[in-house]
Amino acid sequence: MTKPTRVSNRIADLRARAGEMSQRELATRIGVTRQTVNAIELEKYSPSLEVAFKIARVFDVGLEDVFHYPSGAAAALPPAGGVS
Amino acid sequence: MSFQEKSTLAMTGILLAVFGCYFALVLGEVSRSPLRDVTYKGLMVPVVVALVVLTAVAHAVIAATAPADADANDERDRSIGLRGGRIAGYVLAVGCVCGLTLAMVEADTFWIAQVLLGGLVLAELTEGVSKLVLYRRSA
Repeated sequence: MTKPTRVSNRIADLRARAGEMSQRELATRIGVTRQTVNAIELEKYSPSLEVAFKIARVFDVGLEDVFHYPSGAAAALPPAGGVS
Repeated sequence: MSFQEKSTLAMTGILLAVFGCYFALVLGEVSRSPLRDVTYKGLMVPVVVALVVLTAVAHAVIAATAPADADANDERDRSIGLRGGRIAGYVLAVGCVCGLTLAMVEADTFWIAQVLLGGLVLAELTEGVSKLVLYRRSA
């Protein structure tokens, strides 16, 4: 997906805590471009589950310590398969 | 701006310039010439050469200015590429239908060829512009 997402994240904060890790370094470690890390940080792009796990592993934290989804948001979604 | 975004921008600009010149020539003087069928086929060679040379030069410059990012391609690039291609598919289909319609009414081969080529070029331009918009929206 390349549209603004409701998934928020703490990547910038986690990078700062990890010795001011640069976006480029994180991008290299998870196998994406720096621009993609920037888009994820700015919440304009939702990464795949695989990339999300890779990001969490880099910071040695759980997935939900990096990414958040607003509570109650799932109830507002259409049924599975309702949207292509 | 990622390598793929720069590449898309360059390719869109090159397509616009090369085929802008081609259609300006062909739909202008050439279309009124009795030798138009020979002329437009002859123009295809310099058009293809120009596309290949300009594409190679543009990508060499892009890679030279950011060697670390050369040919980098990730899941976001692929997602944007797929969405751009899907949008371009509609334009290509319209071009094909227009060409088919001209063939069914037994229009001149020259015009059928121009409509089909125009559809192909418009589809490529649509894909490029769509991808650039998608890149900016998720920059």
